[in-house]
Amino acid sequence: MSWSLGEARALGVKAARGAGLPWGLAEEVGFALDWLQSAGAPGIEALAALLDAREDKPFDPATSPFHLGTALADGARTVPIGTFAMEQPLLLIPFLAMAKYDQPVKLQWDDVSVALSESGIERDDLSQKLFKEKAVCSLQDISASVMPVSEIRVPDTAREAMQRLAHHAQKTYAPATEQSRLSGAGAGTSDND
Amino acid sequence: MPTKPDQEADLLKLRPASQVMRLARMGSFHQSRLSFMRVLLRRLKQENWTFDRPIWRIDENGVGVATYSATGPERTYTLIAFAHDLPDELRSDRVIAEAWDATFTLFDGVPTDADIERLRENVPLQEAGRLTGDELVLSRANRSVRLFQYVKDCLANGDQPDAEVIEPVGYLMRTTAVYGSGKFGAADRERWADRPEFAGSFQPELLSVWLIRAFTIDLVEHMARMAAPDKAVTINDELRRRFGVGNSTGLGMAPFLLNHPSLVHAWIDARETALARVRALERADQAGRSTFNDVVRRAQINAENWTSEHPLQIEKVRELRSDLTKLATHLENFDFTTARPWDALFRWVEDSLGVEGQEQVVSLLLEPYGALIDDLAETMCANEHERFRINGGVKIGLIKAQLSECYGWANRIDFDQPKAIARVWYVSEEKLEPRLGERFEEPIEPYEQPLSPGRDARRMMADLETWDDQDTLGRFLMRHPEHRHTARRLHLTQALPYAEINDNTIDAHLLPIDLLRCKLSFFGATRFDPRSDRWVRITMFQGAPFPNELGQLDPDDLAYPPVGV
Repeated sequence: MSWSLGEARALGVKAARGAGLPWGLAEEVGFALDWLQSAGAPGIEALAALLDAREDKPFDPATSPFHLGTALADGARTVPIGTFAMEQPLLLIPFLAMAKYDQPVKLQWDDVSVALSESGIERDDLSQKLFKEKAVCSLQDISASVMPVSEIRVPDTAREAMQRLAHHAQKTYAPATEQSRLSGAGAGTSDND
Repeated sequence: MPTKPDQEADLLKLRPASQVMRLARMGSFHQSRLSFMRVLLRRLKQENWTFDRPIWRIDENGVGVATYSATGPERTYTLIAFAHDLPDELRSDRVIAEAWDATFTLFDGVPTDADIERLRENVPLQEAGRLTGDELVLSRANRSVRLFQYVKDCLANGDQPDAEVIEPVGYLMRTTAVYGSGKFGAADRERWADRPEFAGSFQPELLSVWLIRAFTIDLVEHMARMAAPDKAVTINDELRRRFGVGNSTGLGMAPFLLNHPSLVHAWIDARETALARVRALERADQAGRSTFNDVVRRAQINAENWTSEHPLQIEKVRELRSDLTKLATHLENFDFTTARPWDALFRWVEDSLGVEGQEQVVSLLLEPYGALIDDLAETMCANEHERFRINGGVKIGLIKAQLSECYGWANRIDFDQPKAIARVWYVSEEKLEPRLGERFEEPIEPYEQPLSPGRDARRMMADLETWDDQDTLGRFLMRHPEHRHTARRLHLTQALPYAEINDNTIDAHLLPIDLLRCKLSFFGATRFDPRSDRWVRITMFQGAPFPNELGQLDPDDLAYPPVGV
């Protein structure tokens, strides 16, 4: 089984909203998911891990990849000099790409090193262990160009994580009631004409 | 993606967004040359597409599978149709339905037997099944029970059905959803958006519907033949064209215009540019005048035949008929030798006719001038993610000015009044059906979808009041992430003026059918028939040629009912 990038993105938006982010920020989460999956990186699994770890707790702007990421992409902040703490650093990468345009950079944490540019992630770096609940990261400009991949589908390996995102997305749906069923959609009860 | 020449924007005067992007006006749009159904058929004809029906395996109960292929210069597409035996009590057009009379997918290429088997397991389940990147569209349709039975019985008896019975319904089956663009696992739009045969919007979806139309005729003729093999006849060519494909649309489609602002701008900008090009013509040539007079007459016939039971629509059709009568009278004495006659005519239209009449005339003015405006069809597409990045460096002072310019209309609304925020757009847990509820009567506010740009702009304006003009948008959004959605929309609307609807979409008196009609007019729908303020029936491709006769007929000529039928 595989998914389209569009439906993964839409699910990411809803999951982020279900986890408590405002819609505008949830849309950025969807963007990040789409970007990562297109680049061959397991964005869905990283997001599911982040949301599961946070369940019911508010996001911490200091370590949330979406809060720092959007601030960087907006140009409201510059990249921290030296090291900084980040939850699921993989999720920061799409925003770094947006912030730095086509200047390749390298994000590092533990023994992981991921080179990226606007066009994606260095393909050789994709085989590393890219999930970490929270890590101390650093960022450097690099001169080597990046050879990304381009994926057009979400693979079956993301199945379980998609289900976990669906669990978070569920919180954005209103419980069905008889009243809402009858009046909310405006259709009658018989469609034989 | 082709765009218009830069100089054009300077030379032509387009109607402003403040005038056009009002729900009452958008809810009065009509189909035109730039509507996607017509764009599709023009292209299929120009490129000499060929059509075939490789598989017909439908039994005497009308159950089985059929395939319809469409082959263009570079590719073949195949509609796979699964016909089912649906008990009447299960028939529903709602998103919450779980079974249908027929289900469909558009396959990217020629399907193998294995593909068809895989799709047989999935397509009839619709949302509960899965597609792959080889499928472009998923759809389902239900019969018009009355008309299907009547036509089948006539044909089985060796008779042609009566046009007067056909006309009020206008279709044998109606689609209740047509999904594309990555939904339920289908190919993302990006996979085929650059294919020349799909330039514009919704081309694969409408190709599917056009082929479904052929299937509905084949099915009723087949059922008649099964009932009376020696006596049954087929529908004659002219009568056959009176059948379109119905479509039943509700709130699922309503948020589309709000969720696709770049696309809406592209559509409206093309239409307004086309109108401006015609108005800029220095003279009205004889052929142009003749065509115009002809389509005015045919539009009157269309309005005469347009029936609805809904009081709102009845009133709008009455207004349209009256407007067209006034127009016809005015034309009898109109001086076409005046400079820029179409512009003079349109200025009279704006002063003298209601919104229905004005927007009908917009469509009619385009009819004679395909050579002048058809190229705009290719511009009617957009990548919604292209203008995604927020420019945090913009100064607060400029943001305030831009908000005032783009959302000044929202300043005239008192969002503290319950009436102004009476509605809530939400998604129900029940099969994820989109619904519109009452904020003060149901516990749905926590589930509110971001579909109220006016109120959201006012909230952002309010929070900006205490910020220094020299501060930046980026710093503001770090403090107020809840305004990111609106900030992004503001960037967009600054660049694309027709991107935003200038009306309150959560007002107590909002008519979702205004949103539906606008979108459906771009599809090419005629005979818009609301069943409530948020549910509508339309007919697609009524009058249009069928695949086997596309080479011999002019699809544009058939967009209006013929004179004298």
